[in-house]
Amino acid sequence: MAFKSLLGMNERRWEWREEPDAAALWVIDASCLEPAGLSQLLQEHKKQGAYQGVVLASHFPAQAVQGGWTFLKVPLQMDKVFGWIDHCFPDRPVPIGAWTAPEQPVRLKVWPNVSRYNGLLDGKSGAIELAAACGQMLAKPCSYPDLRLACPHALLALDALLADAQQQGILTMEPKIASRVSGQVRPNEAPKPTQPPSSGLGWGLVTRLLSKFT
Amino acid sequence: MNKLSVVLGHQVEQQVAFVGPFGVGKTTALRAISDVPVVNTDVDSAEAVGHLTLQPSGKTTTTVGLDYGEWRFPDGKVVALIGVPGQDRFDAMWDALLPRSSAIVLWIYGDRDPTRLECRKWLQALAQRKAVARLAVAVTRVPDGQEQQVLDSVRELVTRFHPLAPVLSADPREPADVLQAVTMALVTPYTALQA
Repeated sequence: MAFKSLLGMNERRWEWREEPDAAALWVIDASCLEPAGLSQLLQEHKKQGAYQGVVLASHFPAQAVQGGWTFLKVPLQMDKVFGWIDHCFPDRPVPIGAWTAPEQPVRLKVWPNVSRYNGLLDGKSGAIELAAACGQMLAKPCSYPDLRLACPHALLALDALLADAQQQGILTMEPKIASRVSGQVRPNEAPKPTQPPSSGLGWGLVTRLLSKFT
Repeated sequence: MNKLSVVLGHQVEQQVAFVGPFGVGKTTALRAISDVPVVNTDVDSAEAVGHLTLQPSGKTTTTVGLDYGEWRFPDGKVVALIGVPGQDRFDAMWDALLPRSSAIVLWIYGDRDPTRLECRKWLQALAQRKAVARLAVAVTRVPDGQEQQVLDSVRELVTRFHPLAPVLSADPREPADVLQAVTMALVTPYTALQA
């Protein structure tokens, strides 16, 4: 809990996964384990191919201090935890927490450097979704909720990209869509995914690729 | 006995083309995303042996015809993925393939001094064939810490031909990178094309 709270105080956004295979970094709370038990635990993780992450422990077994594990001693100290974060994510794209979703639709003036966010994507589908969302924002104003619906495998990347684009001045806020301002949308109506701005051959192929790789 | 199906007409609905200088990774990119084994026309290259300094990967072959892969969809439709030879002497093939491609990814080295010259040559070739409107420029092998500088330099050049054309750094070995480049080429608005 203390570790999670400290992470929450950092400006980066964290997503916790219950499935070990879905996580980029592992956190092992070994604060209640004896050194021998911790050594055994780490050996087991290493056999499974997982030895990248942080171990919270009161004692560090000398034979286990190797590989990709970082050991943080409990009780935790904020500067040590933040130092570890900065070491692990030196080129994190943006202070994601700085992004505040606007009520107005947003539009891109030029292409952002999309590949900068590939580390935040969920596979091939995320890569296609993020590029397609940018294409939509270049072609017409898009609402933030619609963009999120169009990017289920690239949500973190989308937020990071929008925050960057806003900072760089290549994201503009457009006037609200008239029908929504005047309340013509029924309150219980579910938002629909953003449709491609044209039915051209290019967008048709993107739609098919999304079906293929999702 | 297996029954052969009869196919009348053309199943290829659209095509995506990869272009760029010799050895940049067009064939590799094609292999990364094709649903079928890539039909390959690589042969030993005297050019590569003579200019090994240009080939940090040690590549000693080159594509002499074209590379061909496919995306196959459940409804039977096929999208052709084509790697176009990089050398000037194959420009007749560019004439045949580029104008009819739905998306074109131009692969450019990010770690060579003449990157901008190389890029300009390709952009001019694409512009002559009315093919810049469907373009994404993928820069490979960008040195660590120089990504912004290299991409900005290429972007500044590309905007002279197409103000909205996307420029990204990409690894042709990574399917997600290659798919991203293709998607960007497909979705960039056409209306922004300069006269």
